[in-house]
Amino acid sequence: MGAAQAYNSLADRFSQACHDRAVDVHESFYIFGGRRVEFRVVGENLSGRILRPFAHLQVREDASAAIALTVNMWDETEIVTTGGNPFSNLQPGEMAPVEASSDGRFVSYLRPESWIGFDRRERSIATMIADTNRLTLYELGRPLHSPLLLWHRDLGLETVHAGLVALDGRGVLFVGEGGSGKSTASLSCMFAGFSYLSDDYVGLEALPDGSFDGHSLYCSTHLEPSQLRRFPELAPLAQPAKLAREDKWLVLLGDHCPERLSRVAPIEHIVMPVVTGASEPRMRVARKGEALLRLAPTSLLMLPHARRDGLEILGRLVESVPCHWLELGGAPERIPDRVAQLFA
Amino acid sequence: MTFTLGFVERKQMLRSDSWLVFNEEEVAAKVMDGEAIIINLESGMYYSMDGAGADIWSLLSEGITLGQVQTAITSRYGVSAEDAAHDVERLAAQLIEERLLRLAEGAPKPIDMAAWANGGPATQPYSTPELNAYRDMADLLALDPPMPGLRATPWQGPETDGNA
Repeated sequence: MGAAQAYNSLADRFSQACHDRAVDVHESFYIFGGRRVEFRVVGENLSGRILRPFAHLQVREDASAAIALTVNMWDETEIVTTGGNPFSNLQPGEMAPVEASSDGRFVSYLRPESWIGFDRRERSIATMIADTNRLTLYELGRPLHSPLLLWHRDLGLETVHAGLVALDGRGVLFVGEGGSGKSTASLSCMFAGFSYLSDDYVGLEALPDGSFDGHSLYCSTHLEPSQLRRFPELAPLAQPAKLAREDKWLVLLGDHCPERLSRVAPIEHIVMPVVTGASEPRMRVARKGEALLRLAPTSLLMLPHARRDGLEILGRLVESVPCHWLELGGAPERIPDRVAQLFA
Repeated sequence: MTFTLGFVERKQMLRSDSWLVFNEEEVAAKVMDGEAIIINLESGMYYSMDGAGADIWSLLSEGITLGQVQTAITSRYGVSAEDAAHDVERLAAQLIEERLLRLAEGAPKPIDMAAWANGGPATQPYSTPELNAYRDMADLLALDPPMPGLRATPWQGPETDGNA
């Protein structure tokens, strides 16, 4: 089935689900990347779980505000629709190749527990969840990850692989590959009173004055058990890995500290954590080229829609703010002090 | 029938009047703060060069002949013409091999070398330029390609096609 056919089938079946369970349609609104997004979710179990990573971005309904994206979802085990079961074609754990229509307007994704169609022109996503109870921790922590990143890109917002925290509304972007210490630095700062926006993906908005805003997307974090031991406050909330290929546990920070979550912050510093074995955290100036080398490949290559101008935009970000190395080793409790000193 | 040339064969094809073009279909690159960052968006490989290597990258990707690049490097770094020629040719062959630049045909476009020379002598001493290659992302992408084929889709999105 092509991507256009997949989207249209999903949209029709969502209409069926809404018709059959009109009393069970949950409508809610969010701000993603500074734009208003509407979710319509059919099914009690699904709506209770799939929206939690976006809890900090929720806003009230405003009939006069333009909707920049509509997301429609239902759980096929709660509301059975007619049209067959595409998941039976997949082996356990298998992901089908992503389909795109020849003009690029439609994209579809078939995953073990979700089938997603995205109409990029109409800015509409339709999603069938096979069984909410069988979603992976990745899908529960970062719902609709691929289409949402693509939607950001369509709006001219790069998405960078980075953490983001803010002190008194001033943002610090933590940059580095997996295992470099982004999550440790971001969470340490959150527990020290910083606002938390992300430890993995940040929407990047270039402003007319040459500065950049960083937008939060998910308030989830995925941590290895050894990382969780550093943050015992989070341990009771952590959802353990269910599958052999899941090496990290899921924590939804909106359940723990909603008051510390923030939606957007201006990026004023780039900090690159690096584990050096230093006896305590140490900050030192980094060259711009070093920062771009850490930021660009992991951001551009992990995303499916990288374009050459993405490197230019990331270069402008790096040019616009001071860049630093944060050498990590002992005394992680002193990380927030070192970061706060950037604003002293 | 066509043959793929290896490193040695490509190197043998290069002459002082050879010139190269940027592989803009697959590659993104930027020189910042004296460091060249080059990303092959298709293969997932990425590269860096600093010092004279970044200068050579800038000049070669501008479409300047190898001979002109050698002259510029000799002038800027005070290195012997023989050493510069050897290093430029070696690096050019490597950049072709990695599909970052391509050997061009026909006459090169005219370049204002004086503008580049106005940068003055290098502040750093000459060291043999090296292309640092990083495979970590390529290995990840080989295991889990994020969205095959979508990069080439013609639809550019509402902000860029005037439908916003």
